[in-house]
Amino acid sequence: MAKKLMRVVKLQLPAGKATPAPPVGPALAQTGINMMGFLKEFNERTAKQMGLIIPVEISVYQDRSFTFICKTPPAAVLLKKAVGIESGSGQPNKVKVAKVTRAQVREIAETKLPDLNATDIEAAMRMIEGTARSMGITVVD
Amino acid sequence: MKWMEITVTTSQEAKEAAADILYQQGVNGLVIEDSFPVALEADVEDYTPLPETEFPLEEVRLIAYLPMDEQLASKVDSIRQLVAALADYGLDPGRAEVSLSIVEDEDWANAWKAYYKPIPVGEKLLIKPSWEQIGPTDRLVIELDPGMAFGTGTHATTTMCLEILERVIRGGERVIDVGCGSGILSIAAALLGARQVEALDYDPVAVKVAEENVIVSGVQDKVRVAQSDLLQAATGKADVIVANIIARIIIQLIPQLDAFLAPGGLFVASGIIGERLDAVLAALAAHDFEVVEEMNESDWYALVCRKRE
Repeated sequence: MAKKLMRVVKLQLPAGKATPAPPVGPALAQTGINMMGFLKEFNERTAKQMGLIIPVEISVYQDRSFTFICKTPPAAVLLKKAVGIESGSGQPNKVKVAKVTRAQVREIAETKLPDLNATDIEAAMRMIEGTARSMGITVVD
Repeated sequence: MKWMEITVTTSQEAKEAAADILYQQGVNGLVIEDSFPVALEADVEDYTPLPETEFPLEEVRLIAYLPMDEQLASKVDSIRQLVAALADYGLDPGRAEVSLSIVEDEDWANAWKAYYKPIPVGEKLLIKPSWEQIGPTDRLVIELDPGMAFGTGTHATTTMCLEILERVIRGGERVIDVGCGSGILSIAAALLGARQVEALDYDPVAVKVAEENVIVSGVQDKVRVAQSDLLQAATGKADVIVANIIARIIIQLIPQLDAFLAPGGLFVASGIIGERLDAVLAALAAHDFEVVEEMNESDWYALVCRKRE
């Protein structure tokens, strides 16, 4: 049957352990899709990435069936992984917790480029650098 | 239990940093609202345009939830301060607004079920979600659990196919259902008296869902479900081949029909949007099929075709 797209819901969810609690519940209840079916499928597909946050785009069709696409983890997650820290600084303007090189920033920007609303790699890098600084990670050459 | 819904309105440039601020305060995921276009799947042939977004392309709204507890106030304060400071890190945070609203806990896990009720189709069939209870009925009951696969019976393309099957299945036929989705048409054909049904779908998710639905409806003795690229996995000729897919795929299927349609057999094609009807009719004519019945509902067409003698 032909698919008529009703709407697209964009979420970020914990890999392998998403539940009907917010944000999933309020975001998906109004779409009328089989929420438990989605969660089961999402958790199965992302089980190997447990511990990471995974962005997901859910296409909801007019007959309330759906498909979804998983995206790359958020920039902050990739930054933490690159510099080997668990969490960013609570006072990023005062307390610096790690350093990231521009080469690492470029690598993350390249990974994320398809999912970012950035027109070129420089714009994507500016975004990643700003995200790093906001987490108390110093950007070095 | 109540939840605090926290909405951060910021720029696309600052969204990753703003999202991390929310995660630092312990939120368990986010909703992202923006007008940034999404990659559509290749087989989305027709779609209703997304609702007009009320904010420009460069803006994004991040929505997160925290439980209403004694730490909430300090967490919200931190979010406000950190979002306000985003400009200090070389990012243009746009409006950088943080707004709050209280949300009541609901039975979200089951709310979607309200959209599915038993629905009679045609003269003889009734589609029933498996959790719904119904009284005695003379109709043939198709039990379905809506999942990811297509075919909940509420769409015009499916209801037209069901009505056609009611008329053309008289008992004892062999049927092939190409692009079976949830298996709804195969189950209907079996309940209506078909001797044997092959339910084929390219998508493994659909195959799994169709297998489950076939068992729930108790027609597993008659219906074989298989993964198949069009008719590739079909075995033997059929009196009726039904394809409720999309115009582009139906056009690809037509040249394969001769090998699998028994003499005098019928080909039922549905899922054809009005603007693609001519293309399908041309493909049918090119392969010597004549249209013996045409149905039309909400700009969707279903055709019953037969090979010219």
